[in-house]
Amino acid sequence: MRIFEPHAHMTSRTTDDYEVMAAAGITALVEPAFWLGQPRTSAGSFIDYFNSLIGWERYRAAQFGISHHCTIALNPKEANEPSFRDEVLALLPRYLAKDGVVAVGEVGYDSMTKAEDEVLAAQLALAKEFDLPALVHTPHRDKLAGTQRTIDVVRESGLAPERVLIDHNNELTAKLVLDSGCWAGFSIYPNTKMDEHRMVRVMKDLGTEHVIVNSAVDWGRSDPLKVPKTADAMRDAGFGEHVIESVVWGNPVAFYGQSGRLDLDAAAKIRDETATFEGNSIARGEAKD
Amino acid sequence: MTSLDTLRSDLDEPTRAWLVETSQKVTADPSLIGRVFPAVTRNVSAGSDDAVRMLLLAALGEAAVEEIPNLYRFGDVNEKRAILRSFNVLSMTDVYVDIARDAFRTNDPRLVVAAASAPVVERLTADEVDQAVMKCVFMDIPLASVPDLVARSRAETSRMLAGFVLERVTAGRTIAADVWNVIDRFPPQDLLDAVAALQNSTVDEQREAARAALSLRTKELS
Repeated sequence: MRIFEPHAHMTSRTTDDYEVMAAAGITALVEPAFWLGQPRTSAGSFIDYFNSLIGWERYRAAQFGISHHCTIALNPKEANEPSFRDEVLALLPRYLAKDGVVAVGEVGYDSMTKAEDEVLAAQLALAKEFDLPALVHTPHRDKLAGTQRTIDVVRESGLAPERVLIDHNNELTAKLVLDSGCWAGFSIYPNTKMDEHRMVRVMKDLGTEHVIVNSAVDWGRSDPLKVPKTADAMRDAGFGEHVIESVVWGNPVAFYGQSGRLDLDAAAKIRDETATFEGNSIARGEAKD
Repeated sequence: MTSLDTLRSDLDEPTRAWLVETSQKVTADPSLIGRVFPAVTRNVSAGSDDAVRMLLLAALGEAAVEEIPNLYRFGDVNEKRAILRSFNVLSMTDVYVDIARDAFRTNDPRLVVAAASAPVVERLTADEVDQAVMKCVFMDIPLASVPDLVARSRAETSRMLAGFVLERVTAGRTIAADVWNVIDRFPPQDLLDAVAALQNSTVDEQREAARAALSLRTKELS
């Protein structure tokens, strides 16, 4: 079964993680632009980070047969930093024009401030301008209120709801998001926020249409195999293979495919372009079988 | 080395049409290059993106040297590679050599090879050439991809590569055959004797590695 990981902060993960993800059947992923675990202090830090999302991470993932895509934005936490906010927003058009950038994101709320309001609206406008979908992060504190506010702002922006993925849902926010017409993302963690067994219950209640499952794997306690593990939990709960594949492959491909920039062969192309540089066994003098 | 005309004549009709329309916009307003340059690969026929990017940069005329540093800084690998290759067809300047130096520091073989264009290599110091050749060997980049670097190699380069062979053979590991092309330009006898001596090593892996390495040399020489 093909598996798509729609939310993985690979910049904070080791190469071992790519290896186990590939072994578990993950062949494509999306790495959203976010913060680094502690506050940045300049726009230059964003430039180098965005460059690594389109550069080194894409190359690193390709070595394991994983087609790496990314989203680009000024994240909710750092929308509150006045010293670089305008400079970073001004940089975004250069990146939103690029191949492999499949959405504006992660945007949204962290602490529900006025600055976050403004930056969210500005970036939803960019999503419209660049004809990209939007990935919206919901706050972990006061999530229900934050999600409701998010849905309102999305409606005001004029972006079609099916081009918006509202992520990190729980049992209380899921129906609200799905009823708005937006896609609902669920980040599956070990023990906290949402796990695969609770996810199965949510899918039994609300169905699997417009449902996106991810690991949101990052520098904290998180597990890059939560999407395959959710597939296993669905299987144990009696969901059919077709439905399971629609959740772990079809849905994220459909959502991010709206960008027109999804390239599920990207890893193979990079391997081909760099294959001549891998030194075949004849050139290296090793015995041929 | 390709000329702008050759690049242009190799394009198919739809690609050429897109290029003409985009070049006109860029010539009228060079600041638009930041928006169109990233979008090239998905808007032109497969395999044409490098050529189209090179032609767009040529269309910038004198504005090229101002726009290129930012296009490189913000570029993905395809954009960076095209910029590096464009140094073959644009008027050379120190700014471009510094960009190539940045590419030599990356770990993506596509960028290292693209950086080693003739106009760049002739402006590197001899030390920089040595380091670039060694880097290619460490990255398993076939030296046939970087002929201008190999052509500028000197006795010191041969010595460094022979030292690399000794290190690999001592570790019981393999080498690529093409290192001999560089070593045999100025073969350092003392190091080669040390490699040969390992054919009689009491350590199996070293004996095998020495024999394998030297057998590749014989093949290259014949």
